[in-house]
Amino acid sequence: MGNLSPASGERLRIGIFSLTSDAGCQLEFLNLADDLLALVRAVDIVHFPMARTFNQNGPFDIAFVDGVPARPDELDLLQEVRRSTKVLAALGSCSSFGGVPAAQHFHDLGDLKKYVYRGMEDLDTLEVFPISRYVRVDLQLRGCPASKWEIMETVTALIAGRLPQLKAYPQCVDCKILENRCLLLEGLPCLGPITRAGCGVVCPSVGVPCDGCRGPTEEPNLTSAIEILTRGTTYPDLIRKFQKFCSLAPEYQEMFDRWRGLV
Amino acid sequence: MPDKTRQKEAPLRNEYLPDQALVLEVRELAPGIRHFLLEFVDPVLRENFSFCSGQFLQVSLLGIGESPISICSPPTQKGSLELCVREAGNLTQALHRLQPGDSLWVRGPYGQGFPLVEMAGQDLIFIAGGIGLAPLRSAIDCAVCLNDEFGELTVLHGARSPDFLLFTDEYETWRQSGRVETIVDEAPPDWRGQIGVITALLDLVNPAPENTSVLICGPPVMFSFVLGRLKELGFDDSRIFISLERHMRCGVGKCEHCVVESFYTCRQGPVLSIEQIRGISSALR
Amino acid sequence: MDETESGTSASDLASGYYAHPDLGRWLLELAADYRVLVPAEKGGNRIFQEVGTTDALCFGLAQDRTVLPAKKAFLPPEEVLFEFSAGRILPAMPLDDTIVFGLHVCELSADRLLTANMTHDRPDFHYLVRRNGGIIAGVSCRRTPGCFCEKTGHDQIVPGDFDLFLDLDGCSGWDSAGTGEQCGGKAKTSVAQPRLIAGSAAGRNLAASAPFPLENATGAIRAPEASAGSKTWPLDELPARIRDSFGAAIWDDLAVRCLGCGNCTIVCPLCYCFYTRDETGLAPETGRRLRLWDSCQLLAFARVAGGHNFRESRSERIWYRFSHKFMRMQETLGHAGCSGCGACFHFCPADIDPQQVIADVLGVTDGA
Ligand SMILES: Cc1cc2nc3c(=O)[nH]c(=O)nc-3n(C[C@H](O)[C@H](O)[C@H](O)COP(=O)(O)OP(=O)(O)OC[C@H]3O[C@@H](n4cnc5c(N)ncnc54)[C@H](O)[C@@H]3O)c2cc1C
Ligand code: SF4
Ligand code: SF4
Ligand code: SF4
Ligand code: SF4
Ligand code: FES
Repeated sequence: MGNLSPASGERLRIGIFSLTSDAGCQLEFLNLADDLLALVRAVDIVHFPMARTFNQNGPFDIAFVDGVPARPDELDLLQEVRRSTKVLAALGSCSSFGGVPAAQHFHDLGDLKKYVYRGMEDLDTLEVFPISRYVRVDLQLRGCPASKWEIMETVTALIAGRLPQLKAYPQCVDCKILENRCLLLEGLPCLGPITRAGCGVVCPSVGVPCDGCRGPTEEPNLTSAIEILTRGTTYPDLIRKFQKFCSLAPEYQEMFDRWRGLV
Repeated sequence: MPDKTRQKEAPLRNEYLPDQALVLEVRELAPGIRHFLLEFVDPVLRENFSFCSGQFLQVSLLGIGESPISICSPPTQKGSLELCVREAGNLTQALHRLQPGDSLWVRGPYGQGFPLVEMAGQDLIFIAGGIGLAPLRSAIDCAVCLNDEFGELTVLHGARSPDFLLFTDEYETWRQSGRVETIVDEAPPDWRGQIGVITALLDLVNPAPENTSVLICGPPVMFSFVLGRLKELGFDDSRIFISLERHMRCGVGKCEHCVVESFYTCRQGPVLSIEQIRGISSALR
Repeated sequence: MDETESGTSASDLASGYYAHPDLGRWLLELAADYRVLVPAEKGGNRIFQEVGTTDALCFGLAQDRTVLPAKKAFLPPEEVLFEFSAGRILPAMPLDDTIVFGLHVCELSADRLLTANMTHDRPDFHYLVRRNGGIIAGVSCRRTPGCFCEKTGHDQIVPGDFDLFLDLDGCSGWDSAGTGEQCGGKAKTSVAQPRLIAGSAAGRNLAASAPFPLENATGAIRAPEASAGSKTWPLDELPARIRDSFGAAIWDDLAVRCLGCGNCTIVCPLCYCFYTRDETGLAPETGRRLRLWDSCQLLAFARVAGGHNFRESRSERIWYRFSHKFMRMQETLGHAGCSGCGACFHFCPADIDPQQVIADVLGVTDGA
């Protein structure tokens, strides 16, 4: 990431942009609740179509971009945002990894258009890729939706002149610290050991196995994880789990290739 | 009503509280490398702070983070300290934004420095790759300052390119106590100096091992070549001192990040003799 | 004394708890002046929890292991080293009024070693303020499945290692459900009532208000005996063996299975390493420096700026975990940095058992 140095006393100019997505990540900004009020007092959120009527153009100090470019005009917007911001943060697993829409890679695009977009077969859609395929991305705020903690750490860090300290270690660390019941030990398919922490282990904390929406840790031991996970889940179900949110994560591709070889 | 009185232990020192220092001067030494002159805000500390060449400080900025940085001024310099910082990540980038008058926070000094006292009367060879000249410069300046205590000084400094050679304006002073040779990996056509790897400088000066100590700091890739050459020249492991770099958090042997096999780089190191780390294959990586 | 008299209900027994109403009342009384942690149930787990935050008479003393060890009382998973505001540092003052009740023998022994570690060389202020001001009370255990304290030399404690010890041997509702004969390492005599053993003056003072008979400790307290044939590892030999095993294939074999998830070290009573992080609010002049538990099993533990990783492979990281416990701590402190509690194995998704690892290091199968 570039060396962002806010001149002291100057307020950060923040833009929040949405490409094709369900806008759940943008909603996380509104869900900041009390923090949001404090946030708008501390920084200038000058572009936020979901919450503002009048939106300004760049330059921005930070641009949060959620979703994936699915149409040529969205690609133009993405490139324009990159040109006009110091820090570009991919907001959520769609912009980081293609998210749920990237499941299209596991189906025939023609079929998809026929069944999903019935009557709009001539739709001018781009193949789904993470935004890093098109522009340089400084930060990935993964998750579906992105985590409020990471949004706040990003903003407060950049105000202070710190590089955001996002967690790269597995969910299990935070899960154990919360002293949750380990679902994996109970035979449930929890992807915690190979999924990045940072969401506050929200799912295992309420008894739901981690679905891996934050994507893989660095150098995950997938071979061993699959062996352990398939003790309680079938291999196809497991692959579907990996394909759900972060199917374009580079760390997963070898596993998918092997799977394609099998079916 | 339970009795809460417990015998109080001797007051404990809180190692994690840093002291405030002011930046007096900032200089750019090379692209991405800056040199800072500091002084403690506390006058008592300013007066009494003492350390050995090769020791480091835990340097921090409030709200940014903390990192180990070697002191690059000599212990003989009183009242102020100098640091030389390469922009590498969170803290070091923020340090590069500091201006004279700004504060930073330090604790230490930590670790074992170069045993200069034991080297009295000997010739000294300093071998520095890149930013590795920072801790060595403290020792060089110390030896220059106490000229009579030491024999001949030889400084061998390698860098990526001529722009990255550090402390160039001090070589003349150093040369009054000995020899300074530099070499770079690559250089523009008008460069008159040496191009190549740092071992070429060892070949050039062809040092004799008798009554000589060697002080080394640089990137791990440099170590095996330099050490191999020194061995061929007949240097004894107990006379070769190397400053190791490891991930560090606490500086006081508690966080475990800096451990190499069975020693703590922050406590027994960062300066260790090759004899001390003999047989530890992972030490010189 | 029968079950009605001891006040232990059937459901307490079913979940493996020993709950005594008088004990509950007493701890609640202590909670007025101290932060009192006891093992209690939460979401199907046993967890050291603060008395008063849980239903007073619902807690009990678990015979089974807790998720996090009692060390969390003195070395919390996340703590503030200091706060700062407008260029001024405001040191955090750790609380020194904790009582932890319900440590097994292995954990009391681990506590002594962890404290020795935090005291040795450069003392750790925050840990020691909490620990030196704290009071720890043990409780009889019935060997927890998967534990092996006899192998690591952490199967006995002496007065001074504990302030108080609640001896439940012979109490109805305790050993009757467990491995009765084994309790206390000797045949059962029937102690009809719990009794408290004081291991320090602080413990003795505290117990003045306790509803149980109080005795002074006269000697070592031992964990129940292990299954026949299990004996202490050659602990003095292990440092050299571990050192020699660096790079050996056993570590590569473990690396094939290990997920690098860190569960094993987070639950370990003798792991204590940490990292630090600064945190600020929306006004950057105000914030705090935190220290948080770390784990050498995580990829980035020894990585430095620029990306070079001094412990690049998972096998090497696993070796570092075991070498810390059986080489470095044994050499610097004279005791293995593993209490034998078995928690790491219990919580490891890949079933990595230190007993097997050490057996492999020793080149012999267990018991052979
Ligand atoms: C004994 C010693 C002396 C050093 N002396 C100097 C010096 O004089 N000048 C200089 O420019 N650099 C020096 N370094 C390297 C310097 O510490 C790192 O460049 C620095 O820690 C990077 O921190 P950061 O916050 O900028 O980077 P980040 O990547 O954001 O680092 C985050 C944290 O990781 C740890 N860390 C990361 N890299 C290193 C590293 N290389 N060494 C130790 N810890 C690390 C630190 O705790 C740091 O705060 C020295 C390192 C050691 C061990
Ligand atoms: S429940 Fe999932 S995230 Fe939590 S410890 Fe178990 S495997 Fe890890
Ligand atoms: S808990 Fe098991 S799988 Fe996870 S890091 Fe530890 S040994 Fe490896
Ligand atoms: S074994 Fe590893 S995780 Fe445990 S204290 Fe040592 S370095 Fe930390
Ligand atoms: S290494 Fe495992 S068995 Fe040993 S003390 Fe730690 S958690 Fe318990
Ligand atoms: S830096 Fe923490 S133990 Fe060495």
